[in-house]
Amino acid sequence: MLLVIVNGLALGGLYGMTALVYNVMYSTSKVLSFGTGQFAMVGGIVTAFVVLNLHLPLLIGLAACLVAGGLFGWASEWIAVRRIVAASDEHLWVLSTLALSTMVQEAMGLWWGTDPTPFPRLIRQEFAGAWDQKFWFPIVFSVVMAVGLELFYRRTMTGKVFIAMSEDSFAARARGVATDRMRSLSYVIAGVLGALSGFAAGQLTFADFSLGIGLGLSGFIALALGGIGSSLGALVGGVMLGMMIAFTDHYFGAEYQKTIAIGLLVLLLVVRPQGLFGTNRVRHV
Amino acid sequence: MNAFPPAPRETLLEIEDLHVAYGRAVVVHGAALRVRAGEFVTLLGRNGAGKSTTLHAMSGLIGKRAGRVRFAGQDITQSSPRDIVRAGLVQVLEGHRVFGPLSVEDNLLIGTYARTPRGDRARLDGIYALFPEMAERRRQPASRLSGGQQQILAVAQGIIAQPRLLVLDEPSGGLAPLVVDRILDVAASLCRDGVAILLVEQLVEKALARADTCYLMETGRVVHEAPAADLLGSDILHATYLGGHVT
Amino acid sequence: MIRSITLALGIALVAGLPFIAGNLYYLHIATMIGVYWVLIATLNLLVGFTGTLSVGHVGLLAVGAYAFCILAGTFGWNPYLALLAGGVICALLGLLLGLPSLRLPGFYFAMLTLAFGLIVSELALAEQWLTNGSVGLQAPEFPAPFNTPHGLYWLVVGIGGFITWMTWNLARFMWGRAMVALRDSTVAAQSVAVPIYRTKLIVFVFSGFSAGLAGGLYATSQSYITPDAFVVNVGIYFFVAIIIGGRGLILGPFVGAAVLAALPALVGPLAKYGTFFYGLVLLVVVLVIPGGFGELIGGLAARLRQAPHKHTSVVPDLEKLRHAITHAHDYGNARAGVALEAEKVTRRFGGLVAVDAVSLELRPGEVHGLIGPNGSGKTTLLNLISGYYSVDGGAIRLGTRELTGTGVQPRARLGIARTFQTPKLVRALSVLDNAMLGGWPDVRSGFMETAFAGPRPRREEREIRARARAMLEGIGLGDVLGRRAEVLEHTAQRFLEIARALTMRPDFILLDEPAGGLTTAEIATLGDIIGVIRDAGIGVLLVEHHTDFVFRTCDRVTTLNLGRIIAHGLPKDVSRDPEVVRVYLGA
Repeated sequence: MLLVIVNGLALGGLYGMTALVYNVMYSTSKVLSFGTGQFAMVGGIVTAFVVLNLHLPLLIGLAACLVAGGLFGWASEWIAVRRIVAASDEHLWVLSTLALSTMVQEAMGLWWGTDPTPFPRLIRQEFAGAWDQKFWFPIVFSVVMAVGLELFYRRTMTGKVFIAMSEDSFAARARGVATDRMRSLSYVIAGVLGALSGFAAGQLTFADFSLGIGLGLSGFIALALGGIGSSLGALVGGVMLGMMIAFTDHYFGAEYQKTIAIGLLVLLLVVRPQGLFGTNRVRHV
Repeated sequence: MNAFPPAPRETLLEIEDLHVAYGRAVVVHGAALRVRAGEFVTLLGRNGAGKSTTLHAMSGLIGKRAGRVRFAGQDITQSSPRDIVRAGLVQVLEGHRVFGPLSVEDNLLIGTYARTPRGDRARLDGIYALFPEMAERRRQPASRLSGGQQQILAVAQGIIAQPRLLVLDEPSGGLAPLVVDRILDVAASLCRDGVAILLVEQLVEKALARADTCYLMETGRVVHEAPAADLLGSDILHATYLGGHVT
Repeated sequence: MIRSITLALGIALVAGLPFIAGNLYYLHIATMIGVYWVLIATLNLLVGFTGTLSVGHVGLLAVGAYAFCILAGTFGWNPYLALLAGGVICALLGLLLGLPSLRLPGFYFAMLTLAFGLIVSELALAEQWLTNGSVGLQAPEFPAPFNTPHGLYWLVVGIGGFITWMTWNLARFMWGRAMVALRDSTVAAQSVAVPIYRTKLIVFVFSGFSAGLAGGLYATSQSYITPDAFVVNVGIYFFVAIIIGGRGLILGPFVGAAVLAALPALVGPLAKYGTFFYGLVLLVVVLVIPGGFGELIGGLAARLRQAPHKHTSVVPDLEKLRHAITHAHDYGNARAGVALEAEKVTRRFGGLVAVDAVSLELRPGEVHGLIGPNGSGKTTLLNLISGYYSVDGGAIRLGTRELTGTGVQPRARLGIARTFQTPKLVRALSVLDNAMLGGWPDVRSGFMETAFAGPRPRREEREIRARARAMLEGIGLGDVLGRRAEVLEHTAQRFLEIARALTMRPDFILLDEPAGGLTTAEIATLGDIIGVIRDAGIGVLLVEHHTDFVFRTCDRVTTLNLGRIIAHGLPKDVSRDPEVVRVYLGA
């Protein structure tokens, strides 16, 4: 039972981190990127490649992972978002981020291969069970990431500028905020954090080119559960989904994971579309 | 109204032949105006005459179809809003647009952001002296302020940015008369300290009482320019706002 | 004439393909194109017309395929019945997915359908007792004569042709205009009473049904199905086909569908780059030509046709307009004397009271002016009356009928029309189509009735077209009926909006700053038009900043300041009211 709970928390941590990454990009651009889960996929595969194929130290793997995530984030904004955000047509950014996400996934599949590869151990460990690092890394990282982001939003000028942009981008521009540059920066941060989540949870997910779509979905469910824009909500939503999946896994088998997830999402959309901690009005129609 | 006509001063802002369009609708065609250093200018005209559009285009917030904008000797026609703010041309948008989730103090720091990316805390005291009610509420989120307080905060955000020209777009919109007087008096006192003011206002007489020069806009053009004192109570104004057309 | 020859040639070519193709492999590819087309043709209505992105349609294809194999194979049903049952199951699934999500922003729906696509393949693997897991299922054949490659081809072509005909009917009658309207301007669609959520839901259910059919046909033409045939990436193919073909065209996506189905088969070694390539194409098209090739070509053609570009002034024919309005609706007897009333309505935004206990009565056959400085609450009041905002206090009534709790569409149906500060037109539709949207409240034909082109949708189409044309000719836009709304001059756009509102045969029409951006001469023309509308017996609420125009045109004037009424009465009194002069000149 402890194992199930720990597994649920770990999965929840991963989903929560993905939800946090959604939030970072959403704050400056009002775009929910279809490629959000792909950052973790890229981070995981790059780390595995550097450590397992190139036989370089883990720290270099981590550095490469973060750099790759940052680059990917920057490219996402530049290619799929910048031109479209001006047109403010939701239709278009869903398609452009979906297209880019598909391209990256396929490119990684062609380069790295389509079989999930075990991820390197981060620290030496002689035992298995509930205290396994593969569980604790995502849990700890997710909490650190949420706390870090909250500090970033509350204590740093850049974080405050992100909030200002999310509230009123036009007014922020009138105050002298270079909104294009800030949006770009937020995507780089999102890429780095996303890659980091892939690094932290790599032992759980393996280095797998097809990880991104499903993770993007789970992260979105966590986000929708917790409410867009809330860091605490992202974590809580992630843990709720993670626990549900872990318990379903335990009692009914792994093949029903996504069915449960979608059931939860549907239920949520009916009962509370703005999420548990959300204040954003999601109804536009 | 200044008792003595001011000596000729250097031109701070000059807009020439400005054209702006939203899609296919040309909203401003050939607007021109000039603000001298330390001058209080008001830009009047009916709604839809193109005043706000002119201001937005001037600050680089929307694209221009044609025309030229010079500020403090530099051509800023193509400059980014950020560079324009840093040059000292600061605009307070219409409709008390503050950043709701941020505290009053953080809103003010955002005002200093263009010049000081880390936020210039040293300037806070000056603003709090000017607007003591902001000091009292420095930790409150701006969304909790009343409409009038939000507008005061928005103006304060403009002032803390150290403008050479402060542009106020309808600071009175939807506010009680006392608040309006307060804001306009602050603008006038800033002006005495050497900051030029460009005010768009629908409360015509309040604006004219404080301005040196007045421009009138109608259907996307500046149709009249006169010393503010001459316009006060004139037929042209009444005609513009309540009937007839300026010829 | 040319069109019918082309059509006949096309049909002959498609039907005769088996004799030309010679090679059975090519025939198989052609069959697959047809199968995909059955799905894409209706998905195009959803994505291309209503602008709703279903990412996981492949899940519905899979359900249809499995339903067919299980029902016709395992349970030994009649294959036709099984095919139909697959369609029905998928339609129900569409309903289930759409009900909770189609009210929310598009991304929620996209994510939910994606999730659906993922779980279908997950369950297909897991439920081995039903689906035989990863081993897959044998697909049954149709009875003769459809059990040969040739026969199957003709069956697919027949069904595909039928579906195409249905989508074509949907697109060319009022439902098509409604779908495009809610894609391009939700606000405009609401104002003519198009039910946003219900329309999306119906289209999604319909496309679910045809995806189910496509699934059954897919299974039988592949003769064997496994879960890995239905990966979510297949969904990208569908999107690319539709996006390349362009939104709002019925046959546009066919080219895309054909190329996509043929490509992997023809260039086998490159197949593994397929998905990457489709992603690339999708990205490039979205970035460079967001409307797709179809719209690009359509737009270019429209631009060529209207050249040379010249400034045209809109000259209404007031007599014609008068006739058009009175002909459309017998205003003399209709709800005689019933007034539209706002009683002490209040609306707050956060701490700000935008409209504070304001009462206003709009009578038939009068022009009621609403003036006041910026931020005084005029447009808010108009939005409260037309239903875009809900009131925080007070009541809105039409005669004795309570409207307070109702939305925009029911009020539009009751004869309350409006225009907008910035014209809300459906830019991709023609001038005539835009005006015809105003006929939507009169449409009684259902979705399926329209799909089968029954007599009622045809009759309604004729009537509404005639009415809209008469309004446009009366208002001075008779020369530009076929022009796309987005290329109109600003003034023409304003007048087109009024024509659309008049086509609704309203009892009341609310004009939100109609004189904005008009020249002095055009404002005078507008005044004439408003006069005709009033004389016909329609009540006009005129929100305006051109006070002189208001005082000239209106029978009664209400002045707002800070959300409250400060003056009310005859124009000559209001214009001299010291309080009005004060708020306008700000003493």
